[in-house]
Amino acid sequence: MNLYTDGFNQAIELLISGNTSVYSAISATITVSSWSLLISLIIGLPLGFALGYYKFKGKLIVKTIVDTFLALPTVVIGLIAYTMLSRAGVFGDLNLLFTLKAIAIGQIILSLPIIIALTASQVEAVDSRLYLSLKGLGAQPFQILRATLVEARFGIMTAAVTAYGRIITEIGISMMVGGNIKYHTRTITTAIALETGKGEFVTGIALGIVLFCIALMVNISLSFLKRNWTQ
Amino acid sequence: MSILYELNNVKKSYDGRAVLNIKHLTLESNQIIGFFGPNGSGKSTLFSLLSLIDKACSGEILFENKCIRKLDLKTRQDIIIVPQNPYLLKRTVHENVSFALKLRKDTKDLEKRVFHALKQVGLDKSFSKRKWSQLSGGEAQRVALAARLILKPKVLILDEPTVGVDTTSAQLIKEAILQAKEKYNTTIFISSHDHTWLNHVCDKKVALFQGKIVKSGNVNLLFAPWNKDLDGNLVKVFLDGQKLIITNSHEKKRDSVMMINSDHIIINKVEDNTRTSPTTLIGQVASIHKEQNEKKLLVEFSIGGVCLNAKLSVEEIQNQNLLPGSKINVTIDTDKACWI
Repeated sequence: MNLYTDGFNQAIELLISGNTSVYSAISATITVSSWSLLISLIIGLPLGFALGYYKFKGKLIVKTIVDTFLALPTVVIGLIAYTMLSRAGVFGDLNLLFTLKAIAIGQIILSLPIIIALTASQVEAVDSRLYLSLKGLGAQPFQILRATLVEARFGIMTAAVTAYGRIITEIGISMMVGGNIKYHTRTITTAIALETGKGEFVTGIALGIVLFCIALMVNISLSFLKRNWTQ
Repeated sequence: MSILYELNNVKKSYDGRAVLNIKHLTLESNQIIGFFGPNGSGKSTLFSLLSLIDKACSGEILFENKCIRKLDLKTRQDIIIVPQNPYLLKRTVHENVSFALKLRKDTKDLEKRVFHALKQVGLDKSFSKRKWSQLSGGEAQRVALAARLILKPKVLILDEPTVGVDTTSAQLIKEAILQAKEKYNTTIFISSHDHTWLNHVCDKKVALFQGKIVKSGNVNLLFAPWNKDLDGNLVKVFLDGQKLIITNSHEKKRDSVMMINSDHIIINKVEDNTRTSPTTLIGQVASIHKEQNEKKLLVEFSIGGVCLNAKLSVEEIQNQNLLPGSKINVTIDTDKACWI
């Protein structure tokens, strides 16, 4: 029990002291995960809308593929990203391996199916009268997309939070294509794994607390927005 | 009045099932035209074609002599529909009413226009801040109507606007519709099962049955079920037990629909429930009103809960001292009936 209480107290001290390696990992995590989520939303929301809104041949197959990607282990995505970004890979010339951009690419592959699948199901769940009303008011396709996403905003925000949760807690991608380079590509999760391996539990607990706080803040913000929009 | 819509051989089917088949129909501008018919008669489908929400499987629909599919965006946006049970955005009333204007990037004097549109449907300024979830069914329907009236559309299509609304809301919707026609020269198409309400609003009525145009003008429809008497004739049994026997109707099926023009129904006031002949029925006058461009007055009455109407001149009504609530003998000239 002492391990936890002492570890917790020392972790708080470590955070207050402004340890540079800890804050570098926190900064790298927040930066890369935020960019990954933003890009995933830009790509995923229209694709999710199209998948939920339009009826087309092979829709079921596309949905099955997207759903399958939801369950893909992060190390497999890391492996895919690694093979693409390594010197012999398709994007080898871009020299992105072991950079934050490489981690971002892997995280986009990870979060995109989540955004697409959850957006599609939210769009499908939107009252069908909405489309009729929007069309009846003379809305154009892009305006229908925008209004539908706004109507399904609670569900889509949940999708974004779910995706963010998966991105920020993944370790396989960051480790494989990031390389866990101190002050460069070390993220919270890779740092926790490394520090725990070295027996430095205090640093691991400190970073764990930060991860927990980020998740808590994101969820509090979502609850606040939900309450504000519905009342 | 010029012809606004012209439909020729328009067919629409869903999953191979034909739901609309209109050989020819013209709809004039600056009129309020009512569409009626039983559920599944094709009213909503017709409206979705007229409002460009859906495409016909075959045939042509002309709008001001132009193919409806080739209309420019501005003209298309001038045709507005209020669907059955309209959807309100999960936002405030103000945002709902101003939504379509924002889509058109027409936001000049937005606040003033929103308040005016709300006033048109009998809602005051204070409603603009309410959320969608704080409205009753009638209020929601009126907000949906205000969101369309604010656009001052050329064509306004209302699919059963009085379903699930109280009498006050129905009255306010009626007033807003009449005002839109008067102020903005809007052509309005309405479908409703409320014949009395429809008669009070419309300049003209079109009956639909099984996807086909049955008749334009004042017609009465007597729907199935029919019984058969010993001679094989169809017999309509009303809720109050009265029977209407249709002579020479052996060949007609029990699920037939009888259509009779208002001109072929004769009504006479009686002081009690005495039937002057075995072929007459006892009814009660519900309302008397004047239709536009018509010399005769339309008398609406009910027989055992079934609403029908007949046309009488002002003199005839005065001579009989006919008033709403008067008991009447109704004689239906069944020889003039058409069958569907």
